[in-house]
Amino acid sequence: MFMLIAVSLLSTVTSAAVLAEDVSEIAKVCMDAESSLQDFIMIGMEATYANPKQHLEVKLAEIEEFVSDVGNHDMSTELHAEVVEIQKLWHQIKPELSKQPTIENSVALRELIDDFVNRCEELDEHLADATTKNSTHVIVLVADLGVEVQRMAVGYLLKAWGYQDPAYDEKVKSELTKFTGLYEEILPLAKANNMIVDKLNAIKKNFLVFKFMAASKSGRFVPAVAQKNATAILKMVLEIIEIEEKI
Amino acid sequence: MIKVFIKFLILTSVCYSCIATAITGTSDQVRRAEKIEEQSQEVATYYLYTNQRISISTSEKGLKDSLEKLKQNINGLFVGSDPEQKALVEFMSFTFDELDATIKQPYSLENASFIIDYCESLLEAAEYIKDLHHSQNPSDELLMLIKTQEMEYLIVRANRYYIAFRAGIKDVNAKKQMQDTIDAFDERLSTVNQYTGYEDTQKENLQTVNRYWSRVKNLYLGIEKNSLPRVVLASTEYLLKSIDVLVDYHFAASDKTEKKLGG
Repeated sequence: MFMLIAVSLLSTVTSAAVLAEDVSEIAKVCMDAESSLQDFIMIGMEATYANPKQHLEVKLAEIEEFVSDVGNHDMSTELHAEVVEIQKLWHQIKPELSKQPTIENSVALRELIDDFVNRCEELDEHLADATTKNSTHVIVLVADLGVEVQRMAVGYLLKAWGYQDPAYDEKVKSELTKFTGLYEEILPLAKANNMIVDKLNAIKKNFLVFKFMAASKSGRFVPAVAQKNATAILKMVLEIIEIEEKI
Repeated sequence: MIKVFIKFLILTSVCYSCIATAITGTSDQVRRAEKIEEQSQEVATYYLYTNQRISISTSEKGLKDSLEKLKQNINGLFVGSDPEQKALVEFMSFTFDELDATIKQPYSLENASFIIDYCESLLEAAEYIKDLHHSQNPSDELLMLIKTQEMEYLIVRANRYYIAFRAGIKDVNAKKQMQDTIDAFDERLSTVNQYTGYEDTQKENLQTVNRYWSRVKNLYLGIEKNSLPRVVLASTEYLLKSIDVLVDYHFAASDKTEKKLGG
């Protein structure tokens, strides 16, 4: 019994040092997965901006690296099982992102990626629970905020491409509510750090375009700006994560 | 080029403002919103003309002037205490700042795509403000006036997409927007064709619109290849002139109707 407790404690201590970094990497994977789908859709839309092909390649390599890397670290059996599940799902998704984009395969991919990202967010939360650093919980929240924005951008780009999703309004409403809830939860946690507060304010401004687009019924679309703002928000979220990592 | 936009500017500002004043009395905000609609379209078009080196000095001046006026009109919008209206005005100010900053950057297809989208966002926000103030039960004559004015706006918009296509912006959305613009024009022309109150002058001009539209439509859509932008522009101006005659007629007719209704 004593031996079991000792081994368990030792394993927690060993993991703690590694897991703080893992939380950031998995947070990036969650956001990158949604962002990759945006690139895939933009290639399908023959977008003349933001070089989506090159961007997609970079994201795919980054996800691959982080997903493989996290599996090599010491962690509990339960956490390891979650990582294996994530890796399995990712290896189903990755080849699909190399195909020629169509509306149909993008919609199918969105379901796969949403499932992957949901599990990814859960894993990230569990990784944060296993660390002793409070800042990892802020990282998880900020990454969730980033994910919601990327999801909104995916839905919007699909709509601009011509996909008529009967649940679009409902999804957007839920994403807007989640974004607002997360934002309000993060802001007081970040109050002590002016750099983070500035970035959160900038995120809020960039997010205005999504709020406005969600209400639009005109049939006009602004995909270039949607993608630009989603990327700008992603960049700011990554910067906040970087700051939190150092805390 | 300039003639097309000056005509568009004068016509829409005079007519829409009068309608707005007659119907709602909230003229200042509606007038500003109308100006923002027009100027947002001008900025994108002048930007594309300037960077394709067509009528360069006029286009450069047009871009500078319309950008300045756009800024003034956005700054003059009423913010109020309503959170929705406040967010809308904040969104417009933020979009303008992004637009202004992008124009100052070196030209690229990517930046041109952003500028088109920023101008679309401003157009849409301005429409939203206008809708807040427009009458719920417009008279038949007023509806005809709105239809003919929209025909002018749609022609200018189609020309803008034509220039954007020439610049190389041919993504799925741009193609769809062009097609939607063409379809919207067709729909309005069909309504106008059913109107029975025209006199000989208007009938002749309506015939001209019908005759030229099928040709110009193909130029915009690029079905007729190798068209020169100046030819497209001349055709656009010609069509606008004929539609002007219809707008004038409906402006006078709706004014009479509104006065009757008013007392």
